Amino acid sequence: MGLAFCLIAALPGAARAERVKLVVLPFLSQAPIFIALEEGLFAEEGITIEPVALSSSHLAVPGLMTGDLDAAIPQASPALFNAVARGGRARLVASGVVLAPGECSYAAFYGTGLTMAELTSGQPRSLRISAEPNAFEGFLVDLLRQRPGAERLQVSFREMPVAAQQSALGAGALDLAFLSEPWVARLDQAGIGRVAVGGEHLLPGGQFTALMFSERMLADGQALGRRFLRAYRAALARYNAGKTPRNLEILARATRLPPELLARACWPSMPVDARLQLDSLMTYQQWLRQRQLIDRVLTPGELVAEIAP
Amino acid sequence: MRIALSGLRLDYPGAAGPVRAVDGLDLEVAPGEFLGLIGPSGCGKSSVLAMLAGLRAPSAGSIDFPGWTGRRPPRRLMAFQDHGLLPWLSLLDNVAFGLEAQGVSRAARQARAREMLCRLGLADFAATRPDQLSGGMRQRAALARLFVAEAEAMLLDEPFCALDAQTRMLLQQELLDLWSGTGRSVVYVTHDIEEALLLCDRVVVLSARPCRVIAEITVPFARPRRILGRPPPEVTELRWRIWEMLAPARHTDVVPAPAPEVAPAMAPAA
Amino acid sequence: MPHLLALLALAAAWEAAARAGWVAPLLFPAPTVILDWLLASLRSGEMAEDLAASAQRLAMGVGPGVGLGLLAGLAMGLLPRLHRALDPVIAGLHPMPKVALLPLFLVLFGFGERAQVVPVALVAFFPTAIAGAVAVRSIDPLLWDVARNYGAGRLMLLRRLVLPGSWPMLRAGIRLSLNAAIVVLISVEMLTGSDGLGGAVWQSWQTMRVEQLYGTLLVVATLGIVFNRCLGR
Repeated sequence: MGLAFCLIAALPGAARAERVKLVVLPFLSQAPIFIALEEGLFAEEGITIEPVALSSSHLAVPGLMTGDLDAAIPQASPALFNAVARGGRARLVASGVVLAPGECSYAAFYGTGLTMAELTSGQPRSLRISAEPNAFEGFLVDLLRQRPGAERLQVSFREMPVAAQQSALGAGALDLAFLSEPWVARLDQAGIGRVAVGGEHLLPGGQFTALMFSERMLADGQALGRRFLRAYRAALARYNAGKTPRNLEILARATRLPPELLARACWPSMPVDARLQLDSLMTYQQWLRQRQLIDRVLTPGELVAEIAP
Repeated sequence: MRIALSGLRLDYPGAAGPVRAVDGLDLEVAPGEFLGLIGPSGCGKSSVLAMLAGLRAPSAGSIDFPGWTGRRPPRRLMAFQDHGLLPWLSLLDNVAFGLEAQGVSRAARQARAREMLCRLGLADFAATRPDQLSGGMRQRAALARLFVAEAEAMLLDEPFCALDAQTRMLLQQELLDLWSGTGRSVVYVTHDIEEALLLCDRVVVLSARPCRVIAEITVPFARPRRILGRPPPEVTELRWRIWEMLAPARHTDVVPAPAPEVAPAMAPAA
Repeated sequence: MPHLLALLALAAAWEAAARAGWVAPLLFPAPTVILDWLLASLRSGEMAEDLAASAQRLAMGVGPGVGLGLLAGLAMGLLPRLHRALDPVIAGLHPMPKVALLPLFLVLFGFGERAQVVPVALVAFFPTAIAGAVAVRSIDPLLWDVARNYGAGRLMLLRRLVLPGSWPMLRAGIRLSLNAAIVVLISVEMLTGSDGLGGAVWQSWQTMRVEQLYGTLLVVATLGIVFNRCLGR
């Protein structure tokens, strides 16, 4: 193995080792990045990663657009769409987290006992929801209200730091909080309540996060981007092996989460083919456009760069 | 009103234990008397005045007002070396300050303050802030504040020492004019022998620290006095007598005796 | 006037740079674009709403914050023992990042307006209190002697000596309080995603409409200048 690495390092490809500024967020949704880093998958492609630590993918968008950052896995957001519409040069290239119907909810509206059946019972009900009304979760809230039987839901948004949500739910100051892992598992563990509605029920196949490249990654016939993407796909394949000891070990280190919590948490679905869910990106954009949150709806061609394998 | 000081002592904490500023001072101020306290700089004259004014409590001894029958102690008001006008008040409000403290109505106190300003030639400056006036005008306003309040005793702490000679003479004359006929006692602290002899009925010569009485001298200079007039020859002679009395104090001034007020600040930080 | 000219020159240079494409328009939109947004948002009433929401929170926070700071500062200036007792407490609490405690405040004060206003009040308290204590103690002792000698009572001491004597420094403290309050209010509004100027700032980043950021910050700057004018020079 070590020998193989030395051989690879000695190959001409490694001599052209290129540096890539990669945004590293300490979230489960960034799992392929951690796996690729730890398993040396980027190095195998002759890529040296310069990690840039940020606390939110919102912060990565301006840098990606101007080319000060090369790659990141941001959430689909109005900021991202507007930035591209206004001449930003970054493009989506591969899928990250997809809200896939399965046995667990990675992103969900969490309550102290409310169920989907109760929410869609046709009864009038006022809901205090901790979520950003102008972001993806706001879209999900609207999808919930469009459900048959949910027409009489009155929603008021209460935004608060995630640290406050647990107490707010416990104190009855909130009915629902939009959470993603590991918070769902944490609140379960604390006995706060349970998932009321999983995001995957509201928007099956919804594109939650996606890999985005700066202009530089797509230049020269996408040479650098292609190498990066190969490493990314390889990492996706390993990720999709599931909660293996190795994956658990890597992700525990990267997210600084207790291994037992990580083992319990719902790991997000990240399709091994990395194919972007364009339909969901378009409907999300249309919703944003209706609310005047984006300047215009981008065509898939404007938003996405196809990278040939 | 008579003021009797007996066994007056003042100690204050110094770096090396308590420092005695005033040591067993016995003194009497007669009703209507203009008394001068003269002594070398830093001898504790001002401390005596502060105790007289009630601003500082003596460490021992007493200040009494024999024959005073008022319910409250008699008012002893000060004029300070550095005028002590409130910089944010107009001259009018400054002059009326004592009256305001006594609860005199706004209209009445302003009328009286205005009258006093007129008398001292400051009528045009009633609305002016002190910092826009010359040193002489400020000190004149301080005199106005003092006299308009009509205290039983007035205590002046070297009020003119920072002024130029001409202004000083003018103000000395104005002080005498304001005081004459009031029948109030004045204690006037100075280190200027000539000034003491020109203004006072009696001059008490004090020693260097700690402050003790060296001599009491009655000034044989008839009133009303004109500052610019020539004082009688015996007054000029007195000058030299007092000068001689203060000579040992001047000596001790020269000898670098540890000055306790300065010592803590100058001591190197441990 | 020279300020205005300098500002105009800066704006002209920025405009030219943005039009020539020397700066990334995504992050540095031309001043005319910013102005367009600002005018549109003023016309639509959106800015007025945000401004009103923020101003109300600011008043609710700064009122008690500066008021109590004033009282505490004057009390500490007047009572040396109180000062000795409270000074270390204030020294310890002042550098606490109030925004970091926001989740706690949200829990303690019920997830509503009050929780948003508490950090604003707290941050407004300290500069005024500290300035007040120093201001009172820096009043010339001679003037204290004068006032006591002339028989000023407590009320007169306060009205004629303590308040006017400490006002210049106190005013500086209040100014710092106000500015700190604006900063924290906007941070809180950003974090809680509420309406108000901070909400507008947050929304501008959420949508990458940076002209909204600059336009809102212009309003914040105006607010600062107006407050400063109100306090006098």
